[in-house]
Amino acid sequence: MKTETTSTPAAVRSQVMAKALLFGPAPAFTSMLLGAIQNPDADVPRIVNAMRLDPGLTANVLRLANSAFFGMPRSVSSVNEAVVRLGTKRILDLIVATGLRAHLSKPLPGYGLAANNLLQHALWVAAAAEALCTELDLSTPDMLFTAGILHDIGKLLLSDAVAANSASMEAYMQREHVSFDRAEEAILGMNHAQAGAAVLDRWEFPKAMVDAVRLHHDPEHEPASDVAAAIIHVADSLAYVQGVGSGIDGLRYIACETTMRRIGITHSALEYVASVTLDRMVELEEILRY
Amino acid sequence: MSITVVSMAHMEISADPAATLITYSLGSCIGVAAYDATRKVGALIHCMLPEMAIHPQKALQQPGIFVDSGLQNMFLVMAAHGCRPESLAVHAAGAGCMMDGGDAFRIGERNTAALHRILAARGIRLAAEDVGGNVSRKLSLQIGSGAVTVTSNGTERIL
Repeated sequence: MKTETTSTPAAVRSQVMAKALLFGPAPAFTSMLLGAIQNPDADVPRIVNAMRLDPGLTANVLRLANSAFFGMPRSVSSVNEAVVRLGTKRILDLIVATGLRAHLSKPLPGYGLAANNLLQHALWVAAAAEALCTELDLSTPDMLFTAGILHDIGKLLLSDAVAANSASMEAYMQREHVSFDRAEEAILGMNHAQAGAAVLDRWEFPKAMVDAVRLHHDPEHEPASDVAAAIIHVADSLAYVQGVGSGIDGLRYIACETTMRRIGITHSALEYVASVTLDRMVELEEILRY
Repeated sequence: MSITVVSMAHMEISADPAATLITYSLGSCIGVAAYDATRKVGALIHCMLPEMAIHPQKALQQPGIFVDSGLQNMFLVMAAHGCRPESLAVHAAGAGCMMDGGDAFRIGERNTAALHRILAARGIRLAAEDVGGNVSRKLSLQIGSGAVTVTSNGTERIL
């Protein structure tokens, strides 16, 4: 007699999709900025004026714009100047990091993550992704930093389901010798990358960014698509091996060798990126604490 | 009893018998505990990467990030506390790997190799190690007793 099966993957999946629909709105001003990024004739001064009315956001944007990570040689003292000098894409990075900070700071018991662990992981991946592009002489895909910040947002949706099904997931991983994301797919009906993409789809983020998030554990699934998924995949793998934001999933992921060959990663490039990313993560976390 | 957490790329040293040094989330990073039983002085370091050659300037600012610069610094600081290389008990844990990740991601293996090389060069014996596999580990050193424990998959044991 089987009595332990209380939820099927399809049932969990529909619960998670419902959560994606109920998940809060995109951070303020993101849709305006996404519009401006896609449309060169957009009314940027209007966006700047709107942003200025939000003093908390203004303070954060200025702090980030003056950080060593995003910073310019000369200090930035107004939102207008920040937008002009950093560009709308960078401002989107700043706004998404600021807007998602509270969400990403929450503890996620299902994944064994304490408060701030997921935020640190997101900041590591965003910073490492950009450092990888620099180190490998790749042109940085649009909104790569934002994709890094958002790549694991699906863990917020799946955490309760992981907690409720952890025994089945462990048994599945033992039996099939598969990675944690495969166990999520088999037991929960979707992995955290797909769950995150559902939220970004609802927020009407650009397809390239949604794909980068959706495919970050399966970057060869649609390899012709943007290289962003490949970069996020490697940056994410680096975060896991360095123990940044790894919980019960630990090291139970696969870094795809085909992807690494495709983007031309070497072990020295990878180690160099790790060596510069720690400070950047700490710096970004410090700034976002306010 | 007091607990001091050793964060990533850092090292802590203590001569307080009531202190325990702990480091968390050792993935491919390697944690190394060194203890001088005669002096009752112990140090714990959490190194991310094998060799300072990858970023020498960074190694100067924060030696603990690399196994070679980190251990060199740790042994110097211990010597300043009167510890002698021949009386050190050295334990290591971590250096795990992903389920699959090709050569580039074998950072853990390179960390272990760097540790062995440096200890051999200094004639310091490695008392015990718990390395490899795809588990995340926690390593702790009790200064009063010199006891070293490793925790992985929720199970703690004496190393």
